[in-house]
Amino acid sequence: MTALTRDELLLLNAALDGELDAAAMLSFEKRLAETSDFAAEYNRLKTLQGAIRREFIPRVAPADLRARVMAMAAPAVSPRRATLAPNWQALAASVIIAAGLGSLSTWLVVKTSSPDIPFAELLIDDHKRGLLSGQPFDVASADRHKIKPWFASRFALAPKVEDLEAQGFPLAGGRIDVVAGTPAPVLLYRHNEHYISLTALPARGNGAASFPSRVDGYAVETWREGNTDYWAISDADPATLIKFRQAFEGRS
Amino acid sequence: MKALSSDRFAATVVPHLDDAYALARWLTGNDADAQDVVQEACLRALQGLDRFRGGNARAWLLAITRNTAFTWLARNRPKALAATEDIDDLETPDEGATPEEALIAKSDARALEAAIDALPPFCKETLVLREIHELSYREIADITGVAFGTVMSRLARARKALITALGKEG
Repeated sequence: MTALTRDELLLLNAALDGELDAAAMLSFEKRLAETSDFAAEYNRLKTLQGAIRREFIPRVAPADLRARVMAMAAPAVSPRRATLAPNWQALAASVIIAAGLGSLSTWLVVKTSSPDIPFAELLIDDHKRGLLSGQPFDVASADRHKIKPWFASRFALAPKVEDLEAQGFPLAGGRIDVVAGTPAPVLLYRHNEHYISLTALPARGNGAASFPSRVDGYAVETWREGNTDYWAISDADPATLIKFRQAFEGRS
Repeated sequence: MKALSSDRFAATVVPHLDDAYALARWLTGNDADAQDVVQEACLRALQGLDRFRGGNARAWLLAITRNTAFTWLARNRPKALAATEDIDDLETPDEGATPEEALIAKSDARALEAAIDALPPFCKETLVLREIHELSYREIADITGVAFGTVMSRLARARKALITALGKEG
């Protein structure tokens, strides 16, 4: 065989890639029919292209990379080190709680329970993972009478499942996360485009810590009812999450 | 960050994350480094968001990603980068037998990936932008910042090398 010239090779590639205009394509096809070396090389190129397109499934960005990138531009992210100490809002909230309880000792207890940011971050990661996997719940249902038994068959103490659709928070489903080594029930509520993950955990520490409005770009609300701590995480705005909490508590 | 730029980032950069990752993955050759490159590229995109005046957001992010990747290559794989540009070996006659078309047709993903990975970085980049991202020559020239003719010769060289490698291996 005679080696093709450089220009011939470029022409073959351009034809293969659909980069020739109609006139050039016409004379190209004529040449293809007349010259066997030319045609043989074209067939090899075409076969190569076919093999590449056949064999490669598109590579997608891993979920944790996606989460990190999305977190880059999340509004009002406060740097981690700053949030480890209670900010003035948290302190102010503590004072309000203390005033309500009217006891100095309570105030001291509440004040020293600084927001548990690392713990909130664990739950935020679970929330993100759930959403990014494209399968935010293990059981999908808007019917609390389906979700409650689903949990009841898996936990000694089934979590409270409230129907908050009337308040604008329809139930979407439930899942089980492993939080600090222990399986925990998580309820998924929807609010417009947003999901709210509500995790129920056995009460730990002093509870009732107040949170900065956002941690890592996510709104966090936590409250205690009896022996259960509730943690609500969402990318909705903090005010919405407060409404959610009020709706949930209002039903109890 | 203001909410506005966060929305803009979500609309401009995030939809093309898979593209950015795929390109970075091919150029760096592994997942961990690709993630670093993409994260760095997205940070640059975020900082440069004000300067992006609309148009092809995908091409814009790919351009930032490849620049970041080549900076990374220059720092971490200087040898691979130095040895490549830009010997035009299209004229050299084929040695040995003509590669069998049937062998090329049978190539599986592993053989193809190994052959592509062995390409010089600029050839690899051009081939990936064409075959994986399915960009036109014009778009590739814009993203890589080289002349149209350079895109064409890099692509021809990349394919010639692949055909030779796969025709040999089977």
